[in-house]
Amino acid sequence: MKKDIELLAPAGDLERLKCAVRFGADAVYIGGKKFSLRSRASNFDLEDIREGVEFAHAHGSRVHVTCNMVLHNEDFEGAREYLTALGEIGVDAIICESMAFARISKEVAPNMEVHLSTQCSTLNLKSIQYYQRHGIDRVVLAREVDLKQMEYIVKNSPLPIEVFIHGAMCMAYSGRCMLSNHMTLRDANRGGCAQSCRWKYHLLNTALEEVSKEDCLFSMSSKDMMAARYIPSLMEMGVTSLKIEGRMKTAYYISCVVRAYRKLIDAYANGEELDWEYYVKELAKAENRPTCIGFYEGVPGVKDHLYGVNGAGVIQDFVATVIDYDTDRKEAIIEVKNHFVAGTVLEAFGPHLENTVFTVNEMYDESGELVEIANKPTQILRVPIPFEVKKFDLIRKYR
Amino acid sequence: MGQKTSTILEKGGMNLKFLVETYNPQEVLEAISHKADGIIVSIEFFSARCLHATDFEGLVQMYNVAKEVGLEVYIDVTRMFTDEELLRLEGFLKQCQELQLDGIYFSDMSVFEVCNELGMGKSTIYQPDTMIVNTWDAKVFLEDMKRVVLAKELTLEECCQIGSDIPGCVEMFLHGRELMSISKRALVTNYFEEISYSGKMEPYYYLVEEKRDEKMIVMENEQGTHFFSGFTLCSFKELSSLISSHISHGRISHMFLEFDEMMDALDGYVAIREGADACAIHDNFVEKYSGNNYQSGFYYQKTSVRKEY
Repeated sequence: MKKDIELLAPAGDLERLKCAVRFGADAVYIGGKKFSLRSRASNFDLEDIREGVEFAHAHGSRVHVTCNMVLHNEDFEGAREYLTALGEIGVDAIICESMAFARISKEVAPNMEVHLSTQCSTLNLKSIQYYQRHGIDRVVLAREVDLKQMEYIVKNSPLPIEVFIHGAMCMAYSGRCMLSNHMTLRDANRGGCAQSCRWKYHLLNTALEEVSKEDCLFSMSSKDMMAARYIPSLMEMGVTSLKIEGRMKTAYYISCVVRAYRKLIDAYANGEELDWEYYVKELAKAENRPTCIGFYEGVPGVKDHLYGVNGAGVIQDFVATVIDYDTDRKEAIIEVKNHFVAGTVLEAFGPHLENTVFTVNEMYDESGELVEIANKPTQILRVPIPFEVKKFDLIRKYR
Repeated sequence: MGQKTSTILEKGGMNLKFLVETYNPQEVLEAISHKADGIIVSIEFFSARCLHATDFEGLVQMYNVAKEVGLEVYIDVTRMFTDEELLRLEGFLKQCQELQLDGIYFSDMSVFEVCNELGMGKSTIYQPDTMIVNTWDAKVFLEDMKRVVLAKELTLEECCQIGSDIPGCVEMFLHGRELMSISKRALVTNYFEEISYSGKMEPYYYLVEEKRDEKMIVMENEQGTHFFSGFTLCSFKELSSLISSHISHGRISHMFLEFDEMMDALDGYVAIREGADACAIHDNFVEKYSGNNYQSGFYYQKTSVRKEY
């Protein structure tokens, strides 16, 4: 059983990269300002990438840079220079869809791995053989592969395999959906997807009679994937990397999800008893949409889709980050993220801090004034906490 | 075939061949009489989406009719395969070796690999419906394959550029409802279960976004759910540009179109290739078939990355 399986986390910017690494990611994937599919989550210029790589490497983690935009002719401009720069910075891998782009990378940055994006919808072993011949170093499987199919692929693949375990799912085969292009002129394959699959539609038969229900129109919206229960199986079969989706997700989401999977992976690797209730509850604290198991047990059914709602809820449980802790005064200095009031029961947690509950009885602003309500994001407060917390620990409402 | 030299050819364009989807030998005969250059046949199980697929026997019948007059014959093997299904694919392709097929369309790279192992790699045509959007990737695929089919979201200018860069190896979807999206999920069945709908499942439905009027098409089969555009693409006005840019083949789709309409379209394309007035043909055709919402797709619409305000 592979004990060195990689937990791969998303990061939309430098702050989230560091958060993911601190909370236990073995690798992070990020997007540069060019070539990446998630245009709104691609905030790394080359200097940010350099700083991110230095930070990650210092903590024993790797950095993969997504270059998975489906490139038109004009999009190749600057590719050679960009890939050369990534190689020089020490980026561990790029993730791409384009065979031509992969070739350029191999030519100018031969020490940098090239991973094949899920955009290529790799569903079987035979396809992997083609990509291996074209210099690909790792394949990210399509989400449409079930566990049994995955095991066959992983056990016979000439290349390492990466699989998704958590996060949002497209309803369509990745890379094969132009709904957004057709409906909004925003290119789904170049980072502009408008998520038209989550809109509502009337369904008419060929006689143009409506068969949909007005209070529950047709939708293609998928629940998010949450495959925690399959981690042991994936580790046993020899998957190389477990990928969490979500470069647009918040630092809080990334912290919760990475931490939960880190604990699960380490517990299983060490032969410890697994506390499923804990892992599932922890993951639910970061929940974006309701979750399902995706394709792990076959094609998703009706219970795996969302009807009537987008489902992407905004949680305001995350209330503060810890900046420092005064051990003499037993006070934490925190930065407010969301609203909370004196008397709220809170929970602190961190990379090395188990969930610890406390009640915030009083809090003070920087001038020492007592504050009843913390409702100004980025406000700095001093809060008595009876146990030690460290910089980068997080505080949320206790549920 | 003895095609009349057109003014486009005199200007240096290559002869763009028109391929039509046919469902039976009678349609093949009709296609011949309307000067099709080739036929494309959908095969049960192996083609991803078709309203009328045939089996190997049916393919042979159509093949024989077509080859009698030297027509090109292609098959759609556009299914997205699991490893368990590839043995069946291999068996089918071995049967196909009895024929001299001109090409095998595929969407899943495993099909190329199996073809290649059987010595048929150079008969394959990569058609992932999206994704072939630049010259360089097309060239990589063409190292091993016969042709590539351009993505539908390209502008005319982009199509012409790629065609010019790789003369004679690039195909396009010319006419019909454009495929927008494919899912392995049974989205219509799931929805019907959600709303406890007990009606009989139809071959396809119309889909209308709640704030729009356009009627897209959604079709579900054992392979999943397939979404088609609310408009029907036609390329009459663009044909001369495509020919001048050395696009080698163009598909005219039968899906959701009556056969007569498809033959009318073929007549139009052939006439333009032979020098007829494209605008007049376009206008007459669109007026005659106004119910099918004929448009120019993405030829003149560049898709953006971000929301435009």
